[in-house]
Amino acid sequence: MVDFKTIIKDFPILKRRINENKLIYFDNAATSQKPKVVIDALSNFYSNNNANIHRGVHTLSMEATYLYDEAKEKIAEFINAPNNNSIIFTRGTTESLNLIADSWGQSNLKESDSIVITELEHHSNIVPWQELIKKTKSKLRYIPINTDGTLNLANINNIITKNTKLISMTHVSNGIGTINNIKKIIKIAKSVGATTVIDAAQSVPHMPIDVSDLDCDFLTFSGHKMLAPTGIGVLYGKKELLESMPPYQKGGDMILEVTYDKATWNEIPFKFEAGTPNIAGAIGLGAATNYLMKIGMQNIRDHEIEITKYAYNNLMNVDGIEILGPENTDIRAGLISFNIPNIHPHDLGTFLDSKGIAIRTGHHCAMPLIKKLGHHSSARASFYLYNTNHEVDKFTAEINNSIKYFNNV
Amino acid sequence: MSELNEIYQELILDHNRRPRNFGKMNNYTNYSKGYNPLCGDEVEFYMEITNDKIDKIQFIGIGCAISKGASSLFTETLKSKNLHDAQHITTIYKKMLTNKLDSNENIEDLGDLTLLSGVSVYPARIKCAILSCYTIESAIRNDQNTITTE
Repeated sequence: MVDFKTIIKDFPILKRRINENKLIYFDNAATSQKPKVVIDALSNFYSNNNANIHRGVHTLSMEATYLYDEAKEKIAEFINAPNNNSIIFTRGTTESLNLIADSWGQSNLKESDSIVITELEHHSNIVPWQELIKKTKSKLRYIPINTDGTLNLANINNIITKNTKLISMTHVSNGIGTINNIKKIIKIAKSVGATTVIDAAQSVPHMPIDVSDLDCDFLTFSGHKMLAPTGIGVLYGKKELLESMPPYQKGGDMILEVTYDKATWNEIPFKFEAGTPNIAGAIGLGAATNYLMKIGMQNIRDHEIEITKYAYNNLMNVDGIEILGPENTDIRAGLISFNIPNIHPHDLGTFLDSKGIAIRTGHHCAMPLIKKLGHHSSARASFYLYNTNHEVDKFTAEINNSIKYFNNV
Repeated sequence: MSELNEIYQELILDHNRRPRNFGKMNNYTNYSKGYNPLCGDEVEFYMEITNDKIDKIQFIGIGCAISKGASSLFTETLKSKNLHDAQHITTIYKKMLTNKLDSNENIEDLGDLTLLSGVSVYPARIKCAILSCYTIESAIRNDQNTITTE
């Protein structure tokens, strides 16, 4: 049994006061806070083990290499990847998706092919494909959504066809919190021979993920949303796919042999990790992964379900509120996107900030989705393991106060 | 509450709740549309300008209290002003928000728009306050392109 009340003590920043109030951090879908173990891992590395990896014969280089590789092993275990070499370190989800679009996409797509994504996507899972189809003259098709923000699969067999070569979709919508039935879509994709990409930026930090069970071809996520530093992320790919793909960036570490005329590529994962990687970031991500595994991802998911249900029910009592996305927490992750009549999300955001509460306001890098749902922007509260129902009480009370403030009642 | 009241002056909130000169204009000489891609705010200004004087000015749009309040206050301030004075006001207003006023420049010329000065300490909100100003400048030029804050 995990006592989530004590978890708050692991996060130094949560002691901070913002505008004379205790910080309530509800912007976890944007980035998470960092536990002391992660901050210490960075500090320890730079204080004791810092060196470049994979080439030095000296002690520090061997230590740094060991720590970097150990982090990779930990992450492979975390998502149940069958092979450590299937884990490529990138700067984050955005770079992972761009890597797939550039490397896999340009060498596998032709004019008659289509890419399928959904109307729920973050800009980072739209724009790389829009650019790719310009280069390859292939087509981009969307799985539409219902008004409750769930995928509408009624015409799925007309969207995913024998021409579909790639399906790239988010597991959890960062804009409205919908959890997609990715297993079902992956199965449909397999039936037409399409390659599958799962944007797991909003799911890997919050729930158990097993890539072997999902049987997806690629899966991407970011470290900073799962307690790790910024600038480190992961691309998981099936070994044989990664082996067949051309390199993304060219330079040091990704080569086997270089002459003045030509070069041959190193094996995976090195082929995709050109240049000195974010070594400290990778070690920080390893520490974060370790911390999350000790607590248990199902425990974290259960905790977030409880808070989300509580927050949803509390918010439904706010006069005129419109909550985007599905109600059922079986298909809603720990985030709630909403609008309050006559109060612009930015004004609500500034009001809540004056009470020490951090939320995100705007279009959440999912402009087409927010527009499709009939809004220009929304306010979004997103939860993590250190949040509590008590914080939700204060949040709801301050939303009610903001209505009085802006409407002068 | 005091810091909040710095940015949300009562008159700004009042203009947000009951925007003045709000609505489309059918007969106008000048027009421009502004857009803040960061938050999706939109504003459109219509003007009737004769002999270099703003006889009529109206706006429509969606936005936060700062953006809508500023638009509404601008229409009240610029009505009946000649273009030279209007341009002086938009210049001083931008300098006020970005803390770039010269020592000899006076914000009193801005009238009630001085109430927006509190926004200058909220870097994330300056664009909300500046969108209407950019759009008005563009309308005076009769620029056909949508103006953005980016």
